[in-house]
Amino acid sequence: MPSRNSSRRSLGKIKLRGSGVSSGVSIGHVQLFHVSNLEVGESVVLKNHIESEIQRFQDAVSKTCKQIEELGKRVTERGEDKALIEVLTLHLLLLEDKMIYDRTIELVRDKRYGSEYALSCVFREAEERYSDLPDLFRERIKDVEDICRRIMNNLCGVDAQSLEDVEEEVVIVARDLSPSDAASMRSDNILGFVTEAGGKTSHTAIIARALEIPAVVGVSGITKFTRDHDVIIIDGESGSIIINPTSKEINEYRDKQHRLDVRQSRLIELSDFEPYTLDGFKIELAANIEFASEVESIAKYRANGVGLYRTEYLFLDRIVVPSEKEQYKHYFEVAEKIFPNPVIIRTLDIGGDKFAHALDTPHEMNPFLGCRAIRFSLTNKSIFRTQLRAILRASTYHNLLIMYPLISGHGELMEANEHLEAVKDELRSKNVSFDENIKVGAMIEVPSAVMVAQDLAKHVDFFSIGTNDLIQYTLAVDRGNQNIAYLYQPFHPAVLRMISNVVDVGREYNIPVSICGEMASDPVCVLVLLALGIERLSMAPNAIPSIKQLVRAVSIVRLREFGSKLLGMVSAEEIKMRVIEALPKLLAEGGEEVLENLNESSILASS
Amino acid sequence: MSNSNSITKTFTIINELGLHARPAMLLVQAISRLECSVNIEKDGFEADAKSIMGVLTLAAEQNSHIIVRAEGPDAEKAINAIEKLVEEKFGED
Repeated sequence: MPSRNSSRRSLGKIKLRGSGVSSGVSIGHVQLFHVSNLEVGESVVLKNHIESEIQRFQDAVSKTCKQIEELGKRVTERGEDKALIEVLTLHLLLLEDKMIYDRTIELVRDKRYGSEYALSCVFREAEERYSDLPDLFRERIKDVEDICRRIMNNLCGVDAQSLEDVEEEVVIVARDLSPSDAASMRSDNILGFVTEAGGKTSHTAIIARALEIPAVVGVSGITKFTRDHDVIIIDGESGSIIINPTSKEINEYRDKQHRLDVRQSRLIELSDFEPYTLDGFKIELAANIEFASEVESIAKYRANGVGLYRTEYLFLDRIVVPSEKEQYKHYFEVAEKIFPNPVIIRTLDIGGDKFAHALDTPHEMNPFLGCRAIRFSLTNKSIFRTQLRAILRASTYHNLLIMYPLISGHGELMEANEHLEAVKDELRSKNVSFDENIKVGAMIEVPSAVMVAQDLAKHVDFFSIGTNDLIQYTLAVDRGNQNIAYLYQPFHPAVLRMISNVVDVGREYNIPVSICGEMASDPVCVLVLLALGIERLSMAPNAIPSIKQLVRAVSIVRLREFGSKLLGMVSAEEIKMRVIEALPKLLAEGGEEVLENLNESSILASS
Repeated sequence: MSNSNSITKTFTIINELGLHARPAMLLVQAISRLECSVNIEKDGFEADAKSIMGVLTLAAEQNSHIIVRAEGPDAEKAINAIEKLVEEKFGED
């Protein structure tokens, strides 16, 4: 869509920073992606222009209809997402809904409003009508908004952008991307994404990682600071953005791009080796995934199975909760393709910063301390049991494990296990086969769970430490709040001692302890985790090669010795310094190359 | 309660999530091309059953009662179609 800004002059060189959510460097031209405003000033048309005004609106609607049908056809051809087809079907129905279509025409005819203004009134009416409804119904106003915007785009003569039609190589810059935008982003010409909104789990981030193209999100003001065709550099690792860079900067980043490419291909060659340390310990390196479609990257990076399958992505942006059958299909597909390696399925982790339209999540003052994750499941028992049933039915390869998120105490764990047993009984009575010995684990991500880990250990087969939440809850730091980002310290002594405690409990009760947070993919953090006695890590698939290279260059015995010293230190700064000092010693022969790659560590970058 | 082309019937929504987006879509699609007008009343509020926005704003949750009034040559077809959907829980488990 030609932006209104495109005629203006470029604003010169600007550097910005956001959070890098999909690594790699891209250098290209900006293509702004934006949606029309639904707040339109009042306008009237002359009496003898009413009929042509109505015609103009009708043309815009039929154009919109064609666009949606076209998108639907492409999505179907790609065999993607049934969920998305449902959304598009709903949109087509809304398009011809008399409360939108007839009502807009009525306002043009009776009040002589211009089409844009009439449509904006219609949207406001709808908003009012929906405002008092229960959540499940109220959420649908987003679809009404989406469809009104599409009509508005066509009314204003701006072509609704389809990212699929992008012909030159561009970096897409947007305020935010909706699920349907995200769905149309499958062009080879898209070099990267930058958005103002969003975090690591936004659509943009997920899609970018799936496409393996760089993305930076949470860049405030980016749409104001850039124009179409500006040259832009984005670094999906550091989160740096440079608009209209100097030729020196372009060359620097071209070099970095080249270095990354070379490194990645070398690392992939390394994939044939197993992750053994120099002194012969095997460190399990598993993958975190969101969708069944990601299993291919697991083969590519030679992961030791799936350490975290985030099932909530099946539920997000759905207009209906996925049925047992649909969930079963996804879980079974992953289990079958990963077999004989294990797959840890985490039950629904909704709430906090992830909300699903289809689920009636309460509005809370403090969602991270609210009804999220296992709490949501225990409150919405039928959704929880449906999921457990789907997982159990999909467990016939005997390689699925169940993991509950955000367990904060013994009671919750017992209750979750009771549901699981009840569902097993139900399946037995119906002669449905499943893995009778399916293993169950608890995520340790709340400080209280660390304190009572011994009580929990008696009732589970494994622990997995979710470092992102554990850090946020231990240090009382909102991980999305930029103002206090400096307090978010993975190396805080409290965090390291907690991890160490859980490792001790795991040894005492003979259950494995793994790490599945961001720390598991940061090379310097991984050194510290190994030093603390961790032997299993789960991370984004493409982080596996570099972590494997690191694992193969260290000795566990030497690291553990170092680890015992770390636990006595009193500040994150001290720990970080000591780690940096010790790096050359910790990395044995052949470690120079690893050391080079450590520069990518965000822990070092923030020092 | 019915003459040749006007039928009224009361239904109880039994599927778990009520007349939310997907069931509402199915309902609208089932009757939108029929030659009759169809109204749904719930708790004193009325909506055109051929309007997805209207049906959604009824916010008919599980166990709510809806009164469906169809008028026109296809009235019976419309009532039957809706009855089938409601009974089959709109295809949900």
